[in-house]
Amino acid sequence: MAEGHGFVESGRDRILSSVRLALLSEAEFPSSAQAGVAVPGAPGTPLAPPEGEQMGDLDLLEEVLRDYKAHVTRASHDEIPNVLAQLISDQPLIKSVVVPKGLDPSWYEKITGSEIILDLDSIPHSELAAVDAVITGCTTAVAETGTLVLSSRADEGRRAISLLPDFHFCVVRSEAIVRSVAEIFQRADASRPVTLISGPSATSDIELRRVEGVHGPRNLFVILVQ
Amino acid sequence: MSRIKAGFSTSSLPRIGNSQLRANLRSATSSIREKRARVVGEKSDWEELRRKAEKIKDQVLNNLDAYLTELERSVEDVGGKVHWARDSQEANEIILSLIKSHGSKQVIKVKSLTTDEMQLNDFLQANGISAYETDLAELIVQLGNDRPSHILVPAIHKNRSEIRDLFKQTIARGRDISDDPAELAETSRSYLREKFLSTEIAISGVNFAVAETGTVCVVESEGNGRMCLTLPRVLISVMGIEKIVPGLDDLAVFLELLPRSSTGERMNPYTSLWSGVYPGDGPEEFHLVILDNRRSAVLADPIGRQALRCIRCSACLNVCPVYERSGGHAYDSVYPGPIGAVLSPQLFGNESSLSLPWASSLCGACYEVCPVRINIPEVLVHLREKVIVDGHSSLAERSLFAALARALTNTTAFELLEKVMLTVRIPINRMPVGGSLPGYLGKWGVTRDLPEIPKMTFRMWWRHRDG
Repeated sequence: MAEGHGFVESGRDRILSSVRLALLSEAEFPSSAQAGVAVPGAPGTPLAPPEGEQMGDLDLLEEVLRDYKAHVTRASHDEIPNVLAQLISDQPLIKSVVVPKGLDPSWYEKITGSEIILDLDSIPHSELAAVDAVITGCTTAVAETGTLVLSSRADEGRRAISLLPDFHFCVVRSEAIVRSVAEIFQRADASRPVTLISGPSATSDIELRRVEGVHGPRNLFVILVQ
Repeated sequence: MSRIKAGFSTSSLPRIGNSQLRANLRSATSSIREKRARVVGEKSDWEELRRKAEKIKDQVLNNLDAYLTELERSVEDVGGKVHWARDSQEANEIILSLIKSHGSKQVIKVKSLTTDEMQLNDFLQANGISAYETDLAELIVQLGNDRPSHILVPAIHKNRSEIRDLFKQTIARGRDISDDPAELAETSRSYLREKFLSTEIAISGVNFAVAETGTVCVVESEGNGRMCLTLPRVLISVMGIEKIVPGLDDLAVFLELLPRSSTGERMNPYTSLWSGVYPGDGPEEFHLVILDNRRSAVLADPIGRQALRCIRCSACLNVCPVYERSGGHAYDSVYPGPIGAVLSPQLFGNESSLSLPWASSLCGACYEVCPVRINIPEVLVHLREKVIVDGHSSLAERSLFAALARALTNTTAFELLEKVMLTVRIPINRMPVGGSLPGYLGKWGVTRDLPEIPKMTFRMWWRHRDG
């Protein structure tokens, strides 16, 4: 670090001293937030309760997920193996499925007709890119925004496995659901890699028209477990 | 009109006359305005979130030195390496030497305005390194040797058939592709897949960096960001000194504001967060380049520095009547639109950017939508004054305004001026359009007509209103 650089002032020290110098020029940042100015009923303050406010988190999550073109299926805990097996056999394109090492093995034992690959962190990316689907758990899900939060836990695996395959099946337990984005970091440990997924990969780069499916999984299936 | 102010008014003229460009812009900005309004309306606490965000950013800027050192410490604690760059040149050199130390010849990039500001791609190319843009719009711009024209949608000036033609000349040569956006996206997917899997080094920007935990955040839609942030062995991320938030709860506030303001979505498809290096998942090496490039100088301006709160959402571009007509290229800066009109002159201070504070009608729509409440009209007026006081005005202009100031502050002089106007009323009212005014005034009149001079001044009418 810079302290060790002797007499020559490093880029670091010069940047910090010009920042300090700039801050000396004015005691306070002159913004209304600092001055505590309250503007009740200012323009752009919609106070009408948004639609869906009365909805439960689970229902809201389902609605928002569908709105962003995710496929949603509800299941009880015991139904997970059958539901996953059915969803996967419905997709003739799926010949292989990668699963993280911490995923409950009973969840994928009923899958027939597709090869199951257990990820032991050693599959090279080029081989993962040839795998058709992935099944993961989920750390938390945000109802208001339809966001699935993955944090590299044992039942979610490293980020590459939920990125390269074209089909992502994500199992969300109802106890993992939170209402708003503000609650994400109460559930997810940010010292691990965290990925927030809201619908399948999309772009709006051409005439601002949303197109589902660019580089990430183009098909997102969510299994909501009650 | 002074030499400086001619910049934008000259460069916008041919664009205003380009009806294809105006149609592209009108359709794009109006569709995103509607989407934004809808999802913002869903959040009953929107105003509160904006105020929170403003306060968080001010807190960071007011104590920026402390937050910068905290971030440095926390990034290094989790296995990242921090580099400091005073300007673009230093940042480019740091990145080049990192690439060279790995013996690489190519890098993949996630869309980053900061690296555009640094002109990193040109610098790397001049040094024998190929930098591949992986964001669809940035790819379109790169393939067409074009320049970005919008913060969020750099290729907003091109419509689907123009993009199809470009692809057919470049990455889909000899193939017959349609102008269906889905097929165009598929074309870029298949072109880039191999690059994601084979490239050793990725370069990204940074949306937010959390001082407390050393967590870095990149917000995107397509998944090209996740590819670049996850697959390569080495990751280099570049951030301006102002991109810091104190803690994770503060980050959550911005994750609510940014997607709704930017793409008009409740949440963008993908947001990646990582803290340094994590064994068994992602890059083995992480470098964070912290760039000043005159941001500390902007911080010294008590009015201008609120521009450093900007989170690059581009909501202000989409509501701006000037941007909608001129397009981004007229601003001749990486940062176009209203936010560009306040950032560019402060960051770059070059001839063309000093004209930008005038590229506004001061209508205030930008301030109303800004998720971090940057009072853009206030900064614009402040910068206009600054540019003039710094001597960027012509003698004729200065004399005209000095005379006007005298007349408007002295009753006798004002009434004399009124009398003069009434005497020349008839010949002036007979002039057909403003553009035919003589000399200096003629330039002013190109886009304006003179109002008709009435028979009576307000003061005369007031005096005689009862009689």
